[in-house]
Amino acid sequence: MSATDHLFEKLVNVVGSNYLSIELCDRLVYSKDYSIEGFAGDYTPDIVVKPASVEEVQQIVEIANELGVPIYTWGGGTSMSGNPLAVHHGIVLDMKRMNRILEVDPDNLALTVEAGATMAEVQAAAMKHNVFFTHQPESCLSSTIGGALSCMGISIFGAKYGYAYDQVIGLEVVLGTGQAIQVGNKSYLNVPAHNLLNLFLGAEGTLGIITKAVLKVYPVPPTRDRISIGFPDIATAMEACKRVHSSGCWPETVYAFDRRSLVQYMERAKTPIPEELSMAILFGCSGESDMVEKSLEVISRCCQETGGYELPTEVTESWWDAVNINRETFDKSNFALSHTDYEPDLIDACLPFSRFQEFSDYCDEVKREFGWVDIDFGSFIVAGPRGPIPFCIYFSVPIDTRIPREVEKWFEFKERMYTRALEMGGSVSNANGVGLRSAPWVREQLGSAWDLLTGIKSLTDPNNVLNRGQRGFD
Amino acid sequence: MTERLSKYEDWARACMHLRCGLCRENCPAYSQLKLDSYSAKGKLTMLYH
Repeated sequence: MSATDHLFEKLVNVVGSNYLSIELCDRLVYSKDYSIEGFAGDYTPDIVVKPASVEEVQQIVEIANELGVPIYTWGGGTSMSGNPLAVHHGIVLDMKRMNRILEVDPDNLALTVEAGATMAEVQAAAMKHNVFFTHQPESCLSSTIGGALSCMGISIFGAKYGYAYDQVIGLEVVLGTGQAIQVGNKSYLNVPAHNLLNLFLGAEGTLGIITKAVLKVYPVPPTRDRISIGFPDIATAMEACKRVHSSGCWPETVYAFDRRSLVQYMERAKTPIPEELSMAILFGCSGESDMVEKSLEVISRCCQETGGYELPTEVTESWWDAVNINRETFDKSNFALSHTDYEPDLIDACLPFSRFQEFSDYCDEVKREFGWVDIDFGSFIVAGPRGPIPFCIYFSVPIDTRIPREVEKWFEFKERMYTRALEMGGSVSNANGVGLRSAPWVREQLGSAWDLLTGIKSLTDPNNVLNRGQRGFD
Repeated sequence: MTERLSKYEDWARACMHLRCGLCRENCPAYSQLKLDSYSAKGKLTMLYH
């Protein structure tokens, strides 16, 4: 009996024959995520298994330990950096069957959910009880809670409410030993000792598999409105955001796009973009209508004082439609159709504020060197959490994967950009997941702290079964 | 037939690049066994592999 057959036999006893597969066609689908990584190597798992409960997850982890087979946990597969890919093949643990909303508790502003539920399902469940779940990335119809908590990702409401990891007050995690632990509960301040939640949030499943989460929900704001402002460059736009912060406004959406990103996002709506525009920010506010109106008025004034100018309403609305993707609105977005020719991937770094412009100029310079001038998606900066000052800068470059050399070039480009970010006193940012190839920069940046991290990993996952070969761990 | 299908070519190409999985929402085939290979995304990933 082959090793895979043996594994199959053991797993079939856990989940039943309907919920696992060793068929190539089923496995191939898990060989690529949203990023380019899947084109650069063979990440096809040996077996795909779909557990229905935490007990099943525990048993699967125990089997993996016994047989020394790695487990790669999958949510929606919308990772931007290759982090669910089965580097050493083995088991893909698809969590999407565990998608029950266990409880919505509006009195305590808490919602308990299994990790495989999609963000859209959670939002809809919250709305039924007249509360608001705030994490809404562009992929919310397909990405799962477990995926968001493990790999971060941005939310259009992030400037007011924060990122995915700010929404968590409790977790159930299955460690690499098969042991299940509970951290936190429905109380909002829940740190009896060290903050163990943060150990698992953003860990991409390398320290444990998140199976359940208690999430924050908020009272629903009655109205929502927005404006967009044009700026001559990144530096002026950043100054304006600082002014907005000091003004006392509390916007919920702050998205800064350069001209090229804006063109790409407006492509479907065919909205014309003013000639002179180089950088633009979308500010959105929510609350009582008079409060929203006043806030937008103040934001507009602050921006104009720092050299900005208001953009036409049709730009604002078409921009909002492009980024606000949920069940009701997704057909208005440009999300899918902007990618008919190229594969999207991104550089994700955080720098000292004053050096955004320099980093962006450097990016343009390297792009020219690589010959990527006409196919540019440009850069965008997103605010959050909890404040209008943007701090993560992304550069998205569309790559034609039909040209084999292009994929390699992309990784060279990525290396140049990250090396530069570190030189400039910046950091590799976890805002969209650290992923498969960021390991060298993460190790370099952490220095001696890396040993501490591997020490923690050896405690929670002694046989190294969780996401083996991912995120810099061997 | 080919003509009728051709108007969906952009969507198919987008799926090949993006693999977003938004198609799982309300998909009767996917909801049977909840394996990605039953969704449109799954089929296109296989097709373009």
